[in-house]
Amino acid sequence: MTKRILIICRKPPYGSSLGREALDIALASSVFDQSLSILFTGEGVWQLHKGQKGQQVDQKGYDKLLSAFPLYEINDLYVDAKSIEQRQLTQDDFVVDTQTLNSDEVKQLMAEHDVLLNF
Amino acid sequence: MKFSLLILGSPYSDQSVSTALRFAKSLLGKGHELYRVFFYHDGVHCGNQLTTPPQDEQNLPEQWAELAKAHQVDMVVCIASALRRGILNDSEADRHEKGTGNLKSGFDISGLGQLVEASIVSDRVITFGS
Repeated sequence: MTKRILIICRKPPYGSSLGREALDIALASSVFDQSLSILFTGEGVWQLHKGQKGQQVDQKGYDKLLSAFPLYEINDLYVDAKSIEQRQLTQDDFVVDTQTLNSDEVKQLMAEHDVLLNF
Repeated sequence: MKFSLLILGSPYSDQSVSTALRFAKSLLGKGHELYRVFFYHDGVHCGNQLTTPPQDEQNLPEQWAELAKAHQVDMVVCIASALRRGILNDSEADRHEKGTGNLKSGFDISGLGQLVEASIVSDRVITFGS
């Protein structure tokens, strides 16, 4: 049985552990050979930001973890257009390639998936 | 319908744990199946057998354990979340030389694969907390 799983990341990095724990689920999912996508929205888009220095707050950086995603064949990464526009971010600010979706496309993405895990 | 629950909230700090418990009882009462309850993030505190609320308040770990026993529900605390938060079963306690474990009977400690597998097998996965 194959299910399409969408992990929705809404939390900023470092302020809570939920962001990292959401990405840990992505890594765990990769061994199950399921279709996996990740949507970064709201403050969650900061997880993608280049040049993080997590060690300054005694944390592992998200950038290293995200950079490893292609090795796990996790390539379907999406960002909400409005969230990055509001924060004056662009694709160039991110450590990995993502696809930018408008609000209708976000709705469609959610509708296309069987399981939504919301963090 | 086959349900699994993902619990992220901390008992006594976050109402979501109590809501999840009532949701679980309700769905079982309606004849649905509860395949697995997966405790992740601060939700792992639900498995702490040392939890000692005042006698006139609900005992959430006890109530989860009773529900699991009555309906043979698989209840799993995530090992990565649990160890960081000091929730250990006896074998993990031995392995890490901590003297004693504190995982309540009725809960198992296992990996994130159990959440992914539950997501694949269940018709619905409902998240509680955060």
